[in-house]
Amino acid sequence: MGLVDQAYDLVETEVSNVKENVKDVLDQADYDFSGAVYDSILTTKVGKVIGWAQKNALWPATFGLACCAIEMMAMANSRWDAARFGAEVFRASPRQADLMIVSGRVSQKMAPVLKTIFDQMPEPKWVISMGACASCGGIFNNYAIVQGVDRVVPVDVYVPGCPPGPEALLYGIIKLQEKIMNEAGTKQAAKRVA
Amino acid sequence: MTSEEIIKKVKMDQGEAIESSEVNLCDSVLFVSKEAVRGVLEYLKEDPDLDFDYLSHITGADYLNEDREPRFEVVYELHSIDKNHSIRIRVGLDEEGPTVPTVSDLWKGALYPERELFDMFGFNVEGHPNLIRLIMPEEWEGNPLRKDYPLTLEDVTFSHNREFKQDLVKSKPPTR
Repeated sequence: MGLVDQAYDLVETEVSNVKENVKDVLDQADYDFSGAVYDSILTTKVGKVIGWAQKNALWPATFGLACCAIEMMAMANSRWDAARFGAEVFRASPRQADLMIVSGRVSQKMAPVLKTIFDQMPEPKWVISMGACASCGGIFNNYAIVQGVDRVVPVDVYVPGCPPGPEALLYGIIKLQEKIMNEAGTKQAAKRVA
Repeated sequence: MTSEEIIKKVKMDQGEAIESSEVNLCDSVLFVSKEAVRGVLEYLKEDPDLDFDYLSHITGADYLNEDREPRFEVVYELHSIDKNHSIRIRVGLDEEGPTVPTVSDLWKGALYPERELFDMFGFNVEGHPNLIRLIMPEEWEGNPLRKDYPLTLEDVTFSHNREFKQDLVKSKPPTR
């Protein structure tokens, strides 16, 4: 029996020695790198938190252009309920909005107006091109319609359909939220804010 | 008055100004030269029996691909609210410098259709107080409702045949 007890004591001492060593090494490392670790965690975390806050409060500008606008309005009401994703507050002023849903065909005469509204929106801002007409001109391949709104403003998410249903637009908003979250904390996101 | 009676009366009073006339699907139609159209329209408005006090519409037509002369036409649609009868006046215009006199002093409602004529067909309207583009942007070039105006803005490069589609993509002209 004495032999077993002796072995047990030996193992325990070894373990406590290792523990002591690890603690010492960790304490030393903490002391050495404390400033750097503190900084890097702080900056990335704040970027992530800002991205998270932005993605959960996307305020679209009230900008209905054609029949797609009906589906956009349906998305905001209680049946589809965009409030679940924080995108239900349609602002009548572009200065209070950070998301532009281009819902419908953009005529050549409307293009400068759309550009002005986009320029009036404060950074950070995103654009969803809703439907075939806004994305590529759709069936209106003629002199009156801009062949894709990406010739006027930068587009983040294209939602296909003619018109896309409210659930499709919600999916587009979810994809945009994913994009914002992936971008959060990176240089692109910093550029948007600055 | 029926269409036949209207035409008979107009021919009796303004015989030398009317080039020809017809009754097409119960509508009375007069063909008038652009020099005489102003007098004819004034007469149609002022005559107590005809009393065309309402200008329904002015529009244009381009017969580029059809075998007829002249190429352009301006069409006036008049209606009498009291008498409840209508008439159509068609004015042929040549290809070089198509010009019609304004009728906006007879019917105020002619201001906008005449601007549309200027915008979409490029017709000059003499005497119009504010002849600028109505529908297209102000710096736009060309007149979209002319038949020689390109119909599509972008050439469609789609085909189910892959090789043919590649050819299409290669030969696609730059976007206008």
